[in-house]
Amino acid sequence: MTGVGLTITGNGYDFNFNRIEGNESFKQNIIVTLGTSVGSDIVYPNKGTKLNIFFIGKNYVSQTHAQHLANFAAVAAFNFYSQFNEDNLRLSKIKIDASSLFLNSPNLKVNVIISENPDNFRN
Amino acid sequence: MNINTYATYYPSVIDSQNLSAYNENLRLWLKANSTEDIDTKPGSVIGDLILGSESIVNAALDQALTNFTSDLDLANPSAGTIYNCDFVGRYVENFSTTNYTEITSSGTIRLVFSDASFRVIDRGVQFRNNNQIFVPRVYKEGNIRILSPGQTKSYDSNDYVLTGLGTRFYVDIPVYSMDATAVTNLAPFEISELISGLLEIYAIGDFWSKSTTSSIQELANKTRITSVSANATTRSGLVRLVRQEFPDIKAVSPVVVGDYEMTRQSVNVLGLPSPSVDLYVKTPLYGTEMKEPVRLEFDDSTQSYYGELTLQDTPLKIKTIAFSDELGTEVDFKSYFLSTDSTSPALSAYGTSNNRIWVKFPAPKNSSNVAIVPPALDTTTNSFYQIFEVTYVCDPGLKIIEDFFLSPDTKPIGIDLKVKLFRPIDFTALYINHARKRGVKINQAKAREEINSYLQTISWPESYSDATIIDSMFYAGASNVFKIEADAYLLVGPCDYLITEEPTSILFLTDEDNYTEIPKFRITGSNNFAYKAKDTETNYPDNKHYATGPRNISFLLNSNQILFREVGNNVV
Repeated sequence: MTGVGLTITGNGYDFNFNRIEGNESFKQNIIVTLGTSVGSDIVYPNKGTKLNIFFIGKNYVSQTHAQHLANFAAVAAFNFYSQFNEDNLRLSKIKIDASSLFLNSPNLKVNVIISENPDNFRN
Repeated sequence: MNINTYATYYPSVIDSQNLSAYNENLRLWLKANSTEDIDTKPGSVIGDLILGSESIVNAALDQALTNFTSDLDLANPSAGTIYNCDFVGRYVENFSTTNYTEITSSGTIRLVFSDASFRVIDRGVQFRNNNQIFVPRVYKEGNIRILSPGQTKSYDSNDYVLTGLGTRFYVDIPVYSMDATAVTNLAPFEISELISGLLEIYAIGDFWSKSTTSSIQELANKTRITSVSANATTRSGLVRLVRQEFPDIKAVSPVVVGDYEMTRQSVNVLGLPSPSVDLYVKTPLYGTEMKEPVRLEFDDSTQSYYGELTLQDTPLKIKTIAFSDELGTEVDFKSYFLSTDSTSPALSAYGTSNNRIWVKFPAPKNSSNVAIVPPALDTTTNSFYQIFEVTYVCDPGLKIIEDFFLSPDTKPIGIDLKVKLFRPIDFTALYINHARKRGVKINQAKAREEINSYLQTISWPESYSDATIIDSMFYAGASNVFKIEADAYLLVGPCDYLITEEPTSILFLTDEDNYTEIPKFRITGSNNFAYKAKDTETNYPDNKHYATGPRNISFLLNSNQILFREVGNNVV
């Protein structure tokens, strides 16, 4: 599976026109989805999360609260992508680590686990 | 034709609920048909930026195609759902249904001449009533020929035979107009040509008319009814052909070999039935009452009048014969029917143009045994005669349909087709026994109109059903409907007697060996409105050749003959 690579920055994204293959492409899709505001895509109204609202506007009160919000966003993205399995790829897990926000890092750390079959997990 | 699909078929607003389904279909279709394994999932560059937009276009295109195919399926336009009127209007033209050739008004006019000489009228002649132009409805080549009384019509030209007496001879010509015009009985017409001896022109019966322009919805509906196979090769095709050519027709029913109502069951040398079709028709003028003068000779030896009735139209029944003086005394006559068509013997020629009728009756006398009206003397032949007025019931529209099927252009190939009038059930009264709730008034006018309209238009394969009448009665306010009774006769001939050769004198009609009685079937209720009766035994000398059944029976009644009889207990 071939996709077009994106360079995602704090200001948005740029096309870098690199070919990205296989799970890398899928993972990039999930990152894009996590950054998409829910309801902004008229084709898929349920695509996206509320991460934007909470984290860019810093609308959270504590690290625990931030982690809760991140977990909900991960579940929303997981549920959304669970319906797309035509490549025999199965999304196994999305985990967002919100603690990075409190370590003066500008970025959220996201783990995405995709399996081709239940016995062969790939990170 | 420039179909502006964007303006007509594309939806103005996309239904976003189904967009994801369109996107999914498009993605999977692309995946199955592309050699490259491109990531098109949501969130991917191709998926979001290209397929996302494409799926919106696809959704719109799909809706546009749905709308377009809806216009092609004429069931939808005929039900009023039309997306592109221009297209549907042009599309139905492919089935010979056009707004331009739509006949919006048709009927028959009578031309009265001062003498009986032969005339030719240009077929381009126009008749005018109330600033609306009517043209002759003729189907054969050449001009219109007005023949003198007694002349024989040629079946490959537009011939009409004069009838009448003295200084008034007349001929009936069917006309039509593309303009919607309500012409009433006896309305005067003007003519575009100067024709010698033409005294007057007037309408016979009310003209059939409809609104000026057919809506696309109406046209689509008509196309559905007529277009599938409008030709004379099948029963339904024949019905469609007639309905397409004569949109004003009230009922049409083809009877073919094998049907109970067919009287021509002959087989050819190969043992196959000959392809015969009796096409029973009923135009809006069915049941028109005509009055025409006839001259009958007086026979001194029997003190009786007798002679042939030369009438303009084919009688369904002879109603009365009366002296043409002011008193108009009616006479008690006997009538005799003769078929002039070798392939439609005896009563199978009833309701066609191929028959002749004679009448005979004793000169009416008063109590002193003196003739009420003495016979007049014809000094040229030195014989006695009298002028009588014949009142008869007919369908002046028969001629035009006969002409259509005899025209060289439209005559069916290889089929022996005869156009006939529906056999009438001649009503004196139709009684509808009903009950009503106390205090409720029944809208009799409405019920009468609905019931009459129903009875006038039913024809095979739709057969009579009490349910429709009961429904109309309930709608008009009745609480219950009981028996529907009739005081009526089913007619299988217009006369009292059937003769098999032309009478040479009054004595011929007096000899009982020369005629047989034509039966009349008493109809007492709605259970025998589709009365089956038949006499078509071959090789039987008295064979009368009639056959009636649900396919060829119609109702001859006017709305005043529908009577409401309140019976039973009123429901409180």
